[in-house]
Amino acid sequence: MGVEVLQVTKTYDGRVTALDRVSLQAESGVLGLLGPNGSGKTTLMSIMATLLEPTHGTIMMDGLDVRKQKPEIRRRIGYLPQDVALYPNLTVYETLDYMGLLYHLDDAKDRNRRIERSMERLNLTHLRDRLVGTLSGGMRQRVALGQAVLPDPSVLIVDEPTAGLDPEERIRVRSFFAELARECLIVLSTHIVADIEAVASTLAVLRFGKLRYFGTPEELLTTLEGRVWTLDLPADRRAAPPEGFLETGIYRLPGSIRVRGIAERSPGAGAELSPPNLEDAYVWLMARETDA
Amino acid sequence: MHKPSPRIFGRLLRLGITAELRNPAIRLLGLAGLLGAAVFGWQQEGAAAVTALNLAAWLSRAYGVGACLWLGYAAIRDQNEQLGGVLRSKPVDGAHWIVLNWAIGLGLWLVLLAGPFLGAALGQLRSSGAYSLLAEAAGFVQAAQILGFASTISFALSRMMRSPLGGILTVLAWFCALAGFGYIPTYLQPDYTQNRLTYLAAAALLLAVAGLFWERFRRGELRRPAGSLAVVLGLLALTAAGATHAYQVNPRPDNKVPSIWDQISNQNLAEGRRIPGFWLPDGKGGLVRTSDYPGKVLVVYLFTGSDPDAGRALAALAAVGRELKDQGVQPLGVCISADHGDGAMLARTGGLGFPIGSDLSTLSTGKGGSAMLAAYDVDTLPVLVITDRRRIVRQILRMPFADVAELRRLVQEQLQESGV
Repeated sequence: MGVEVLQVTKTYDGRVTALDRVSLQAESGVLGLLGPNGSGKTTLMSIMATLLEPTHGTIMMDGLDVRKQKPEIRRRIGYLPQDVALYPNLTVYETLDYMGLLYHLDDAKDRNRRIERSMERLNLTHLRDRLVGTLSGGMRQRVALGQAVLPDPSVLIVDEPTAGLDPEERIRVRSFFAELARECLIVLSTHIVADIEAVASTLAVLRFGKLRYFGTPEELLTTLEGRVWTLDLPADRRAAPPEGFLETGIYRLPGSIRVRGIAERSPGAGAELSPPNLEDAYVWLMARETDA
Repeated sequence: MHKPSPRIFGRLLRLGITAELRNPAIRLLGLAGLLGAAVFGWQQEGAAAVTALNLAAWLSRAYGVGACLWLGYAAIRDQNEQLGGVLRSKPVDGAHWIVLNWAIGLGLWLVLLAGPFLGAALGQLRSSGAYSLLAEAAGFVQAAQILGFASTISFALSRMMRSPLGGILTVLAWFCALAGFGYIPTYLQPDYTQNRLTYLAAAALLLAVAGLFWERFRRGELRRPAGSLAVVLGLLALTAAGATHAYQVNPRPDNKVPSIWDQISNQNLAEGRRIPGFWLPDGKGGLVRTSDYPGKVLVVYLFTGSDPDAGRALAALAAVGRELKDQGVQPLGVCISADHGDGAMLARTGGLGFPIGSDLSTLSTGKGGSAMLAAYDVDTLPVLVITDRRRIVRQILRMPFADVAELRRLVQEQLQESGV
């Protein structure tokens, strides 16, 4: 179990560089890929899923080279792209059965056991005879996740799994990842920082195809210790932020607004130090690159 | 690469077809086909073999076009949808996945095609017994071969082009071929000026596709260009052959300078020109001849015996003929019917009081199916022709007239213009 990305570069038509010499590795838990749209997350995941070839470098999935051992890798991974389209006229059970057959789970008893287990883990058992087309977006996403874990993958690659889900479904999916991370490595791409905060044990931040941060979320937060401030201002007197103050959030309070941000020293009277969170760190990383 | 066993492939196929058959529109189509054919079969009682042949001819084209378009889209559906990404990340052999996709589409349309044949067999069970099942099964096999062949070409072409346009091109090429072999109505064939653009467009599109393949081959994107080019060029050849054949079979009179022979054989009906003369048997041992009525206003009615309105129209013609006889109005009936007894029976037993001739050369009531229709350049019946006293055509009515009053008005207008 594990992913090792070795100096991977991917260019399209020799002009657009989607990934630029990216290197990282993860053994277990959840590897969170964070970055704005167009940062190269999906390209990196597509290479991991053997759907794209890297232009330079390679990725070792579970010790296997994505350039040379595609069939073997495909047997060991689960992949869930964003907005996966399933047959709307098959029931939940039939959908998982269909996908199981495509995974070459040929033994009917074994396949059935895996389907039942998958449905149980994702709280789909009571929906087994419902047509997929009649399910809500969150339920469908759970069915899609169910098919991805059918072969007991050693690496599960999921692209934006919580996009468009309501808070309850989002929490359910996160809980599932937290539980599954004990059994396999999950590579999770998202631009929702809260998803990463909830489950990621390792974090990689990408911007313009380059790796801007790789490490644990805790290490990243440590770098911001003592630099995150909150400041309450009157609601009708919103002044420009002080020099050197990087805003990371604004919250409306009764009669005032609370500004949260990063500064080397206190931004003004009444400012209080706050513990940093990943959202602060993400904005800080992106701003650093912009300044650069 | 792991290859799926036939059992696994069969289960995937069954699940795929099940998913498609749960589509309400597909169910409706299936039900309509079953019930429609059951009613048709019931009406055609005792003629199971003929029913099966007719159904095979019609359904192979109707369902074949549907299957071509469906498979043209199904061929590239997995490339358009994210499901393709999921599938490509699985240990699925690409070739098997393509075959599975094709088999699901074809299986679905074979199930749909089987519906009408089953319906017809059930509709005829009472009159033909188990023989109806056998006959309809044979008809199904015949139609399934055509549907399978056309839709497979459509699937292959769309797959190679990475576009559902392959399905449309296949239908166009098939259409051209059908025209060439006379299997589609005359008015849709390329000898009609307004249809030529369709055939030209089909040929141009196929040429463009051939060029597209050549370009992809030049860029090194096609590993096996021979197969792709063979399919496109085959379709192009089919189109060209069909169109050429159609042009040869149906030369357009205005497309060339007519020969003297053409002018003699095609004395087409036109206002302001003399009505083409005819001699026809009258069913009583005599002849009906236009030359027998010099100086009369002729009201010539061309009809077919199977037209349910013919009886009413002939009665109106007889009434007007009697009423305006003194003013020189002479009705003449011309029966165009494959059943040569139709006209004779009307002449002998109709009590109409005016002669009815029968065109005994009639094989069908379509253009070219009878010497009279070919000479008069008539596509659809009935036709009413009113001449002046010099037998110059003054009015051609290509629709059934409403009643006696309308016919009387039309003839009286002509009499007034003739100064009577």
